[in-house]
Amino acid sequence: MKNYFKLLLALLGASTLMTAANAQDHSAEGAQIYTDYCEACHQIGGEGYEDIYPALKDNEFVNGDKEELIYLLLEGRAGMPTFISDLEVDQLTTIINYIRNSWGNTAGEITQEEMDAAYDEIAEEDDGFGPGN
Amino acid sequence: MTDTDNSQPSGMTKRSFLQSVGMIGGTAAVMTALQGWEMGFASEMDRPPEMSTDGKGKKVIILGAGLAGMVLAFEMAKKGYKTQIIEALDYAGGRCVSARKGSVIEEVGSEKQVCNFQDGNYVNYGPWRIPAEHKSTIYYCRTLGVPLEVMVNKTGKSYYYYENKEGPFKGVPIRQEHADIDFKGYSTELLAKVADQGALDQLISQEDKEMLLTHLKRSGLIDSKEFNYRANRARGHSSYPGAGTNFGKLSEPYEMADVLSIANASRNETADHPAVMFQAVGGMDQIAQGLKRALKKSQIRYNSEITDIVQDDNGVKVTYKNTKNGRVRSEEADYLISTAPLGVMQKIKINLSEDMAAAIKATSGSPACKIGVEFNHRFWEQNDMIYGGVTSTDIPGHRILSYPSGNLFGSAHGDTGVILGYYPIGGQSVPISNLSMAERTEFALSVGEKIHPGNYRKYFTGESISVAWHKMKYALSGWENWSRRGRTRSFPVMQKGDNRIFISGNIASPALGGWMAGAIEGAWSTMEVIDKRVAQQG
Repeated sequence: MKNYFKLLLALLGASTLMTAANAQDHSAEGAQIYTDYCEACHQIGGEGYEDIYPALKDNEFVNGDKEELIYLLLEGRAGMPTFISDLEVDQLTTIINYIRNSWGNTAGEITQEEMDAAYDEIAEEDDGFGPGN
Repeated sequence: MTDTDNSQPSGMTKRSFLQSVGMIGGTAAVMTALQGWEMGFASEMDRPPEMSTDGKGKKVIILGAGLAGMVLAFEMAKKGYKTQIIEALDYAGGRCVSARKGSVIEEVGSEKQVCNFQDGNYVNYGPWRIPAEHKSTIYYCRTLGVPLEVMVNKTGKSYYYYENKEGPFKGVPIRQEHADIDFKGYSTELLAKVADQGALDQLISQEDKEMLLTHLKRSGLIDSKEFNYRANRARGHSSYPGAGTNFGKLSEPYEMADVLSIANASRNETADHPAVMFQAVGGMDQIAQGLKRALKKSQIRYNSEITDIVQDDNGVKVTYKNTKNGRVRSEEADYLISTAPLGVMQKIKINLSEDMAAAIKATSGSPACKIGVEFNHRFWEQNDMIYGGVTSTDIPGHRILSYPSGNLFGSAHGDTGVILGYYPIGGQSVPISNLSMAERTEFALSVGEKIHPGNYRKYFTGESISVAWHKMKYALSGWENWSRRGRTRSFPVMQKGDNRIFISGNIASPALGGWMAGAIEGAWSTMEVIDKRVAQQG
């Protein structure tokens, strides 16, 4: 709960800080991360694959609530994996902004602070319950 | 969760703890794991639950003919329920599969692979190892007559291979037994020295200290005067002893700093991944096939993809489409149990309560890739003295290479075998799944050649088969993970079911995710929930 608060604060703070000046162009790095980690399922251009993997292009969820999307990326959801232990937190910020601002998507920027707050909360919760494999 | 670092096994004094000092690592690890896990210890159930009703003639539709679905159909039918499994694929087993000659693997949007291994060769591209503590899995193997054999999970002779860390071991395969014993040896040396110098006097009694020192000296790893770690018989010989006056030569330990540079994570031997594990003879899919044989043929309807599920207070109606001829059919029942992976279940139109609809989104799927690489000579046995076990690497997307525990010495079907060529899990496996089948094979060969130079490519038969589980249409992941938040908030909602619809399988066992025991015990727990419901409400 406390952490939720932190996240909310970060989200509020971020909206005031958000200016064109600190919105970075992550497109090259974002494109690379997309190719390596997302394209296997969501396909080139975020087109998705039939009714199996959702398109990210023109996706309401992707373009919608920031917090929901941050949690989806960090925790996974409904079959979608988590990348929390495979990508650095700044890479996660890069990829989330790449997806929200590519292929005609024009959602607002998610700041590093917003990502950090959620990341810390989730990383704290990790109790090392590894899979059997 | 308790702090596992400092916890002491309850009811165990320091004295009794030290008396079992020979097992220090193992015991402590097990006990702290026990205390730290909120969800109970792994695999406590060793047989299906007793049920209080005879099913009262209720009909249950089960989605999925994997282990969980078949256990549900088998056990509930035995009690008197009418059970019907609806399966999207054309075979029973779900993810409990092995690839052998003729097996087909087809990923979404990829080329179809047909396995062309020699007779007798196979790769478990689903589950591949059973620990002794998974009594539920072993229960079915025993009762259904599925023969098990030893699966060697850890051998000292296999390697650690690191190329992304600077130091003397960079790019050099080193025997696990050497790195492991050196780590233990230097730890023993340091502990003996600090104990001897009085640094532990605040922590243990004089008597216990002496007992500790006695045990440390008896380990044979350190000399009894200076307590220095040195060449020893546990580490073994660099030149082997033989007849006559050949006493061999003991091998020299690595430097301590070098040993410490090896990642601890690579020594991944846990209570549920012990050195000696088990596998079904001839392929792990034999467990699924054993269950299938225990069912009536008509209990599984294949090639049937669910499109719609509608429930009300009286029952549930399922609509499904035959994937071969497109014919649409409906079937009604009193209850429905889905064992479909939740990622797959999202695609089905179901009138779930809002809470349940949210709960089934709570897990994340774990991507996982495997490849089986076939060889026409068991060089790892004859050249490297490796019989089963796992070589660990730090190469992203590779992780491990595992030698076959079946057909040891080639005595079952000749000098041939299939190595599990890589097995990345989680996000690191996704880049591997981007590769074409030929590129995946080349990746596996290129890493294998670094560990077994001169042999890995030479004895490759040209046959391999690979899977990316997140690209299999009716799996969409190797298994699913519950975050702690999900376990607290969503799992209880999912576990109690939603009116006529229940969710089972591996997902119902968050503490056993990815294990066959998770599927089986998940099924058992759902049976109990439904039985209680039928007892109360009919």
